[in-house]
Amino acid sequence: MNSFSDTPSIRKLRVYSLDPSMAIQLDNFEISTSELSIRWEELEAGPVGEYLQVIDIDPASRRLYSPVDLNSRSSLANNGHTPSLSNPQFHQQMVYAVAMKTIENFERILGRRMLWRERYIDEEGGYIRETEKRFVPQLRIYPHAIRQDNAYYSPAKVALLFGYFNAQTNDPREELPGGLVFTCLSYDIIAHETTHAILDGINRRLLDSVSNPDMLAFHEALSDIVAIFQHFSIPHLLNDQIQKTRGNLQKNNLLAQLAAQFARSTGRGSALRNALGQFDEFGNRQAPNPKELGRTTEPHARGAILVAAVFDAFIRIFENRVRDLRRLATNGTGILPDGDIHPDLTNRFAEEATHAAERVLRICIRAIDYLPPLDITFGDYLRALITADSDLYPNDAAKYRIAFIEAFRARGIFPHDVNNLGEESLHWVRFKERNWDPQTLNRFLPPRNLMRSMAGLYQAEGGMSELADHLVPKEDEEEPDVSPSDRTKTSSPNNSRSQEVANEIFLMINPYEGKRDEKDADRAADKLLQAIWTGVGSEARMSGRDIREAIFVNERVFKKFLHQWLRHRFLTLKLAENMELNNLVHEIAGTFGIDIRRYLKDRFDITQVKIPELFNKQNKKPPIEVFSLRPTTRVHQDGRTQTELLVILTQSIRLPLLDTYGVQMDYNHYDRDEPEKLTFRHRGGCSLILNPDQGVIEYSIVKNILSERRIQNQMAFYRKQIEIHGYQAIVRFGLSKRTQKQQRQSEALSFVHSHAEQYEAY
Amino acid sequence: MAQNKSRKEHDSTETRQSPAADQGELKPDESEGGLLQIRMYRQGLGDCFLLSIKQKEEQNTKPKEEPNAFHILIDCGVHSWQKNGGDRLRQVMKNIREVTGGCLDIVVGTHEHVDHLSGFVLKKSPFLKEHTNGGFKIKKFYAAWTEKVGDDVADALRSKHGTARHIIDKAMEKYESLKSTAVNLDEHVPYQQLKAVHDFHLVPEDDIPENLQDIFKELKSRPVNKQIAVDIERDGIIRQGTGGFAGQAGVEQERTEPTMCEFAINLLRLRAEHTCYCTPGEVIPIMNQPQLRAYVLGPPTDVTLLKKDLPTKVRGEKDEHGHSSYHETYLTPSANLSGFAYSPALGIDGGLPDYIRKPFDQLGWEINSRGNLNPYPKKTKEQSKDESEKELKKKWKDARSFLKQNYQAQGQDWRKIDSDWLMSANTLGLHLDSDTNNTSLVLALETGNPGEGDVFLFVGDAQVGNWISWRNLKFQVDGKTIDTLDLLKRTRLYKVGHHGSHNATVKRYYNKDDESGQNGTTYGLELMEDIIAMIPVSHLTVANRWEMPHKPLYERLREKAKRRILRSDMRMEPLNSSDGEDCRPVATGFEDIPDQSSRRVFDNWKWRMSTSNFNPMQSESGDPLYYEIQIPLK
Repeated sequence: MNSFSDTPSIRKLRVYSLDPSMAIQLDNFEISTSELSIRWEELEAGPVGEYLQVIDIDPASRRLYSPVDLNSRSSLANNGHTPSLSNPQFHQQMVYAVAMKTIENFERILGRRMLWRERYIDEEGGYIRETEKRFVPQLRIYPHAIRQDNAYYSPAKVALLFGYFNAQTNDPREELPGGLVFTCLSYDIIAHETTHAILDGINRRLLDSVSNPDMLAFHEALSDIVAIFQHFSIPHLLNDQIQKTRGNLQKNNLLAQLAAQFARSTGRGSALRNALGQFDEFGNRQAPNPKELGRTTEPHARGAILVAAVFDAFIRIFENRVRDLRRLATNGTGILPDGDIHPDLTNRFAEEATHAAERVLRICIRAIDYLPPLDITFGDYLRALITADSDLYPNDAAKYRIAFIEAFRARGIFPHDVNNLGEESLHWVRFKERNWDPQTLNRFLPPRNLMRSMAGLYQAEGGMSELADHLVPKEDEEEPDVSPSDRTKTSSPNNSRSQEVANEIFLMINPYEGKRDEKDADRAADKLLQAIWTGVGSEARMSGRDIREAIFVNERVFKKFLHQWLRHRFLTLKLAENMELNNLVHEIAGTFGIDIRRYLKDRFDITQVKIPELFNKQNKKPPIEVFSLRPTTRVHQDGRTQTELLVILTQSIRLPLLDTYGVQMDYNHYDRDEPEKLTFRHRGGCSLILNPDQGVIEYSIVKNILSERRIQNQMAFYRKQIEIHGYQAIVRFGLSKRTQKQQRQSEALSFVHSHAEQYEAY
Repeated sequence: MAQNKSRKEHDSTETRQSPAADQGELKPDESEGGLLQIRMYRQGLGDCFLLSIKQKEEQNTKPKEEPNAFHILIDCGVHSWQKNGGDRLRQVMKNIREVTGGCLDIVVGTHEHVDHLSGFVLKKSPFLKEHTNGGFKIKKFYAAWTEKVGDDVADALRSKHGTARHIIDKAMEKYESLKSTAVNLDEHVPYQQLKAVHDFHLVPEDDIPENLQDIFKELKSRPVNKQIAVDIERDGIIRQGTGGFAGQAGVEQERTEPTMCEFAINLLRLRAEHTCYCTPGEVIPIMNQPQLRAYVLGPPTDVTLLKKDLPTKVRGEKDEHGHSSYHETYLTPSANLSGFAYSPALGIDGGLPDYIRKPFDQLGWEINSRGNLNPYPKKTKEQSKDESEKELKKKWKDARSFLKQNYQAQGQDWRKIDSDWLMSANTLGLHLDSDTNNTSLVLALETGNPGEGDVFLFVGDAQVGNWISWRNLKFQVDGKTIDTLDLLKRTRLYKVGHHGSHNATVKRYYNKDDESGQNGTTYGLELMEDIIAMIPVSHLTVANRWEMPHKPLYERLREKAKRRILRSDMRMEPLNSSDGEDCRPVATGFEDIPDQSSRRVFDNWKWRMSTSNFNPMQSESGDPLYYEIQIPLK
């Protein structure tokens, strides 16, 4: 084992601290560049590594720029290329370094490996079933993809596309008129886009299934938050700004500004977005207006309100932390004398800012795991923040959570399903407080040993991914939005040994096929477990890339297994003596967000169940879907680590989109005589946080599919979108047969507002 | 006199016999001062208005041998998307020919878009014929100053638009060459947007009639100077001496295909006895019509007003302290150079400065049309022995294998970005459209005594920048000073700009340096009361692409016009059904115009719809050729 001494642990790379414009400002020259320490990994030219694949092709200029070799002697000795506008190899280095840093932050905080969005639809729109084809190991980064003042994450390509453009200003004080501006050299833009990709990898439905105005805004907000709080990890930038603001971070400063050069060179003012919110003409920060949220619908602008709330919480925390320092430095008055502050004080302030920023970033990212799986709102996010933080730090001595609640409330962000804004009320309800009969519950939860296996990491055997492909009968999977003609195109894997195994298992746990009882099912589960266990002993291919693929394959196998398990349990569900069918269905819907009538219809008279009227128009009862299953390891305040299993169950049904009079809406295509009926995909489900050690559910964060209110809100949202954007909205949200496919191909995320209307006409 | 009269009778008989004949031929005796009739033709998505004035016999100042009617034609076009657009427009032109006897006193061409000009160059168009042969005689042709050849600014703008169109055409070709890839162009939004712009220059039937060839030849030889286009985009200025088509030494000249609209403008120029280029601030007396005059409002003469969203100086205007006054224009928020940035990939980067052609000087390997690296240039034996040369060749080989292993890796085609850059070409298209719309000639026609009568506002497709530019204009007529705000307040008939789109009717004016402050002052439509709104639009034609008419604007128009809205389509969406239908003429005989207001501004005004129908099979309420409003002249 001499690898211990051989392999370096970090690779240092130079980048621009914010963007290249600082390097030509006398004030900021000193802090214009910095060095990032990136976790060491084997890199090929590109750079191409475990997570990222940088390909510098520039089709608009018909060029390929030679890939940078970060293993070259000069690169290793000099910490990479010198920051430079005119050297494309530096551009490649910078996107790599900043994107990796962002990924590291997420992995450190969430306690698991990041996987990119799986690829489930092929070029023709067909559904991909083979596990191996679904796995996308690397995010692609194209530093010079387009010649436009934009950069975006493309979910369809699992790629970041950065643009470059000629500055659109005629004021040389802003930027050189017509000079080139590269979005791939802006730290903020890279971090922002990478976060989009990471978040999309965690839950692609946040983009695929937008059902309220907060969802896209949340995506934007989190991306901005990550970009802004990463500013605090650049020591000399932080020190410099503390010095210049004399420790008052409420003054307009570079730390809170996003993409300054980009904004100036496109005539958008001094920053694209400012986490401090608005400033008046005297440079004073304006108080937030809680009514603004209701008026703002454009995702970036709406997201900016959430960003401002989080940053405000940070400012409150920071102020709280440095109050004593200020008193010490001013003999108790708290009022600093004019002039520069003492360098020691600067350092101490900076230290506190770093701590506070790290904690805030941690809270914000951790909260992602505590979000419901779909239809998320800013209010849900606040509850997730509070829950995530108090689970990890039960003792909130520095009143961080109070700071968050206060900052959110000031901007009108609060959940609508709580009685008050106390910390206890905002905390998600713990599952054990739900009064579920443990007997009933145990029927649904897989055995503890199985949960533990799922939570651990095991190497997949060669045939495992194929096994996953066969575990669930096709008719019981969520139907992707694929037209029948496309469905025939879906590839079906060859008959193989793994299919036989799968069939066998399927037979055993399907009570109708083999007329087996519960014990048989348990035995089948054991058999599957064994199959998985044998994988552990198999030859381990230990390079990092394969570990992530193994995780992906394992998760898929477990997902399918859990699906099978639950299906079996629902199919054999018995009605307790004093229980009515209606109550049972609604209790399960209230707890897990799903409608299980599909599994009861052969044995019970499901017409007794009261369901929203719209559902009656659909004959099909939706199957359940185990959307994701991921183990995660967290480090608690007291240093102990805990492994949890995050499971997302979902379900979806297509419902007619009604207008306010209750008539199904239609849309006229200019080239068709028949108007097309509009429908939308309504989803429900839950995020389960399981404790495998004790075999219990900690939380079930639910969006009930049978909720009439949710259906109505969602329809109102789509109607509003159609009113504003017309056909574009129908495409974007896949509201008609014709547009469902298009929706998947559309590029949902851009760094800037597209077609921002800057004037007021009608 | 007798001769004149008989001729008149002859004319009217002729009209009555034709299928498109109408009742209500002008009868000047009914009114004391003569009549003005305004026909809004309903060919669909496109403008065509005919204004006919008939004076009392004793006031007739026309030479005796000519008919005692005066005709003004404002635009004549239809969009290529309009279903049966060509046929419908030909029916319209036939009607115009019959009513006017082929004699048009004034033709106004507002701007270079086919939905305003296609009629002039359409196949079998009467405008292509001689007057004696069923064609038209045109006395005066009014165009915006931007159409003038030889004007530095106008020529430069043309250069810029020509370059942009060239790029768009090439981008379209490029898109179409990508058909093999996964992009489904029929459903690809950016492509469709680009196509929309492209189609703005297509005549409904897209081939050039024989006798246009001469004009064609002249136009074809006009070079386009790309450097000028870049200068305008970058600096917002036109450098002295660079305007016009005289090429600079050393700058590569590009020749672009002329557009149909350029044909149309040139044709009108040739056919008309006089051509007038109108500049804002002018008041044009309508020849022989003392009770009618035209105020020229737009297009703005300052090129900076035609672009960009930064505060821009208004030429020659100062406030009482001698400071230049600034207008906030809201045009093309990101009007930019990016359009030119596609040139290298489209293979048309000749004549462009280096900083646009390539982002890095000599770095990078050129890629050919098949997506592979260009072969390494052949070297002599001597050269290839050189160390640095060897290194370079190795780099080329490395780059080639990198491309193969990564970008061109098997099964990874779905992640390629070969056409993504094209997506942004549509922004260039949108800018070109707005820019052209902003060159719209805007006329406010006034009847009666200056400063007192009714105003008919024809704005073409003027967008925000154009509207803003006229706000402070002042006109001198007969010793009176008349300003734009006054004209807007007296507006009775408003031809809604750009088919009722969201940015072609302004409601507020902002200028942080003056009284308007942050909240702005009311302006535009908000100043108008008691109007009739005319919207040439076809909701169905644009349904999937644009919102025309824009719903909030439409609702406001309904309030301002008390539902008196004339549209050129039958589908009445978007309409708030609870408020009831629009008011429009429903009979073929003249009827009073509904008017509940106490001001009684529409007293003695009448309207009707045409007897003739686009579709003769339909009932008469189906699809009338035009709506007509009759106004007594005092």
